[in-house]
Formats: sequence, structure tokens, C-alpha cells
Amino acid sequence: MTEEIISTWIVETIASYLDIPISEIDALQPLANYGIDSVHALSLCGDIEDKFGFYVDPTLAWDYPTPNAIASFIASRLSSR
Amino acid sequence: MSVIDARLAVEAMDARLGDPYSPSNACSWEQLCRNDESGERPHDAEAILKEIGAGEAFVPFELNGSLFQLDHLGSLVRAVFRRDPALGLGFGVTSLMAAATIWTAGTTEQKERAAKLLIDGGQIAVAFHELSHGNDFGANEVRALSSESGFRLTGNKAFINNADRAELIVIHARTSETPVGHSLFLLDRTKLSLPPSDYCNTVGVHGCRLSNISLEDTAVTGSALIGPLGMGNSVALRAFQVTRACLPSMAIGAVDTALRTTAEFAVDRRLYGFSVAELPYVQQSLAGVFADLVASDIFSSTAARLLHIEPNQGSLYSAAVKFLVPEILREDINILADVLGARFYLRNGKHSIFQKIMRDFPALVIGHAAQDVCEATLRAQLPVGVRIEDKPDEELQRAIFDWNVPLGPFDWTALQLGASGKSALFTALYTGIENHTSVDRELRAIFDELLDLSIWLRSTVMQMSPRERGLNGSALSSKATKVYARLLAASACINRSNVCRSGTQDPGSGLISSDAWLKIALYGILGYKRFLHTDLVEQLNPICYGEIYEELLSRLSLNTTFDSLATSMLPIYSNINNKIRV
Repeated sequence: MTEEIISTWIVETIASYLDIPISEIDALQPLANYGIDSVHALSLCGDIEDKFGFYVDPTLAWDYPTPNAIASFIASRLSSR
Repeated sequence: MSVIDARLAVEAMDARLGDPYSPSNACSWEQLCRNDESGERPHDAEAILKEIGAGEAFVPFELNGSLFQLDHLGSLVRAVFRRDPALGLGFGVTSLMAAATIWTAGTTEQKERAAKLLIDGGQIAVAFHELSHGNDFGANEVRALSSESGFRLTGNKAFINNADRAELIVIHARTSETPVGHSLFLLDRTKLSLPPSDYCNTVGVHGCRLSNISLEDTAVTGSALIGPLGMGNSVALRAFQVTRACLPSMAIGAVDTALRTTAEFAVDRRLYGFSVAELPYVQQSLAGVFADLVASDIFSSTAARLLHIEPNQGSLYSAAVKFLVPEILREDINILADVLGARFYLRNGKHSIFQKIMRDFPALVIGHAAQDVCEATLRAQLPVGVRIEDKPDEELQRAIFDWNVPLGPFDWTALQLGASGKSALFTALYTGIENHTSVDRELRAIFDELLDLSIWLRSTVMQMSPRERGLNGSALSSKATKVYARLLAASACINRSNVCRSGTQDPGSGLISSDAWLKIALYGILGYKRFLHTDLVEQLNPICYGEIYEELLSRLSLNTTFDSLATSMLPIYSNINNKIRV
């Protein structure tokens, strides 16, 4: 799975958390700008585990602040398996 | 460590605390009520706790303490809560919360310092709370600015237990403006000059001294940092999984005494020519509360064991216990107050401990993650929580529910911030019901209702939009969260019942293996409280309440506890100097 596809999935997922159009989320902007909170971060780890099959810590959303950064991290985890 | 060993540890503790009925004993209910009226700390009772080394219970075995298994920590400290919840909270539990962060992420030096302090009977304050932010500690504003020699702290912490005397203080402070911007610090108050603060006036827990901590450019060295910089919330939320699972287990002790007091009243009191205890509604109320206490013990002990066995799901189990058990216990206190009638608010006489427990209880259960915080933790993770194992590991299931399977020492570093994998406890709801051998019609009907609820829950969670799982979740997601916590509790009780039915000789197993107890316990867990739902729910045959009431009378006359361990409150314990290992 390419980083681009993963990033698009992150954007879609975050947009569904916030109930806003996908077009409003820029994959290069920090998620914190959109009002992502700690509860969303917990949801995100469950959704990532469902989608990609491994656990990530909820601090992921702060360690890798943008959808592209998260996608890059996930892609590297996937390729190292 | 077996159930028998756990019982011995509790009875050794009770033997050291002395006769709770003897007014001359500092740890008697009468004396502790007198302390409460004076508004002072129960100094003599605390001196006993210090003398017997009660603080060792909070210190891991490898640091010379006696803490080994978390389920036994809950049942042991429950003995102190049976005497006085404020004594348990004031002497130790907030120290445990503080220490949990150190055991999770502290340096060897920090761990050794904290361990020695607790073993010597001292306190550690846990300073998170700021008036403007409550449980939302991610918004906390106390600042820690980096300096050449370490950090400089400025700001106010409010209503901190033991802030006036704790030798060490764990403080939560903002170290940057980023979302991972909070850190934890271990402050040595002997090296600081903190301004004195007035005590906060409270309705209950008079034996606890809450006050404020004001920091004004207070310098601490870099070695004060607990865990990595910026990881304060992560460390705290992992460490507090332990305290959130254990605190409700301890709080059962307070309601144990409330039940004992009420049952004694009901047996003695005569109305209309017969004793109050002969009224069917009174018997059913008392039996229902008793069944709830055993169920609450089983649920919280199971969650504590699961923190050892399945730490990847710890954030769910601990939040579920902290969410559900206090709610059950709070309602139980109200049911008992109805039985006590006017006695429930008397501040003197032989029943006065009851009003004290009623006042103290809210402080016990809101102090450490309010119900809505636990609900948010569960709600966000419902899709993970309802994942089911296709092929449950039988060995693992046995370790969870057979309390004679010893667990290794608790690994504080294994806990995760979020849950992952599949839930052994949720899966066990299905296997537990499948393996249960009872043919009781009422019980099988309850099992069917639980299975229907689980089907409803799983389909609701699958259809729920991610937004509904957020902080502003819908009423439907709130309902799903409540159902989830109740199903976990039901799973724990059904599976423990199975173990007890398989012929274990554990104390209390006769009660727990009975259809009567399991039916009443599951009714309580489902929220069908006695007499509150008469129009909505089919009532259980009163015979089952009679069976549990008989056991209650037996324990009352033998002075044994109303939890699953059934230990003696007045033990004859000859080997009193042995170290209590939990």
C-alpha cells in the first residue's frame, strides 16, 4: 500500500471523526489544527489496528502530526514486516 | 499466591487493625466516627497503619514492598476501607496513585526513594488537579520552564490530599505548548519552601486534609523528571489503569460496613411486633446489596488479574471497572439508607458509621477519573473492546478466572495507552454462558438476555459513526458503553461461577456457585435494582433472595466479610509478625 493511499485513508478517517468534508483536510497540515483531541486519538489507534493489523500508541497523532507523516510511518512499519 | 494466602493476608491485616466494635480501639468504627466529628486526621489509627507497615502494600516486591498481585492489593486495602474510607484515602490511596507513576516510568533512584518513604509510613501527594480543568488534565496550566539547572515551576494545584505533609509530591505540569506538552516531576518537599495553604472544607472525608499547592518560580533539578519529557499524560494514563481497577475494589470495603451496620439494625429493630429483618422487602434489599458486593469484588479482581494477563486491554478493563462498580455501590448505599430509615443520618450512636460512609463515598469515587471520563475512554475504543477471539485460549481463560493460578509480579511497563488485540473478557461472555451447567429457567433467561444485548452491542458498534465515539458522543453511544461495561462484569461473574461450580474449595465458592447468587448478581449488573423496575422487568422468584439472605445472616453472626473472600473481621491470628505479601 502506497503512502498516498494510506494518507488518503487517514484524511477520510479524520474527516469522519469530525464530520467535515474530506476536502477541508490538508494532508500536510497538523491534525491538531482541525481539533483532534485525545479521544479521537484513541479511536484512531483502534481504526489503524483494524485496517493495518498492528497497534500504534495514541501519541502517534502528536509524534507524527500530519496525515502524510502518519502515512509515512505506517508505510515504513508495513514494509518492515 | 492462592486464594487461601490472600485471605490470610487480609485476616492478618484485620488482626492488626483490632476489634472494629471495641470503642477503645483506634481503628474501631466508634473511634473513627469521633475523629471524623473532630475534623482531625485519625492520628492514632494512622499510627497503627504506620506501625504495621501498611504502606508496604503499595510497594512492588522487588523494591522491598509486598505488592505482587494487583487483585490482592485491592482485597487487602479493602480491609482498611471497611474501617473508614477516609482513613484508606488519607493514609494511602493517593500515595498509591502518585507511586504508580513512579513504578511505571521513574528512575531507579526515584523508585527507591518512593519505596522507602511508603514503607516507612510516609505519604506521596499526587498533584494533578487544577480548579479550572478537573479531570481534563491535558488542559492543565501549571508551567515547568526549562532552566540551566533543570526546571522552574509556576502555578497552583487545588484540593491536593496530603499536600501539607507529604514528603514527596508528584506534580503534573506543562512543559511545552505542543499536544505532548505535559510532564511529571517528583518534588522533594523537604528541599522546597512551599507557602502554607488553608485546608479545604469538605462534607465528607474529614480525615483527609486537602489543600492547595502554590508554586512561584520553584526550581527543581532535571533529575526530578518522571519518564521522558512531554510524556506526562502517557505515563499517568498508563499508571492510573492500575489505580482505576484497584480503587473500586478497595471501596467495596466501605459498603461492606454499610451493609453490616444496616443488617445489624434490621435484625435488632422491632416494628409492628416483629423485627425489621422479617420484612420481605428488607431481606431482598440486604441480599441484593450482598450479591452486588460479591459481584463487584469479582469484576474488579478479574480486571486486576487481566492487567497482569492481558495488559494490552488494560485501558478498557480499568475504565469499565471505574465506570460501573462505583455506580453499583452508590445505589447500594441508597438502598441501605432506605432500610435504615431515620438512622441513616444520625451522627452518633451505634449506626453512625453509616452516615459517615454515605458522606465519604462520593469523594472516593469521583476523585480519580469521574464516570464521564471513563465513559469517554470506553466509548472511543468500543470497536476494539467488542473484538472476539475465534479460538479462545483455554489456559489463558483459566488464569483469568481461577484465582488459584498464581500470576507473576506485575509488570508496570507492559500497560499501553490504548487497547489493542482481542478482548479475552468479552470473548469469555460467550464461552462462560456456553459452559455454564445450570438449567435454572430464570438464569438461562438472563443468559439469553445477555446474549441478545451482546448482539445488539456488536451491531450498534459496527454501525456507529466514528464521530459518535467522540467526546460529544450520542445518547446511543452512551447506552452502548453502559451495556459494554455491564457485559464485561457479567462475563467475570459467570466465569467465576463456573470455576466455583467445578469443585474448587475456595472460600465463598458455595455462594458463588449457586444459581441464586448469580441471578441476583446479574440482575444488579443489568441495573434491574430491587423494586425500582417492578413494572418493567420480570421479578426473580423471592426464594433465591431468601437463600442469599441466609448466607448474609450467617456471615453477620460469624463476623465475616461480604465479599468473595469471606474473611473474618475478628480473626484469631497467631503469626502476626509475618510480612503480609499481596
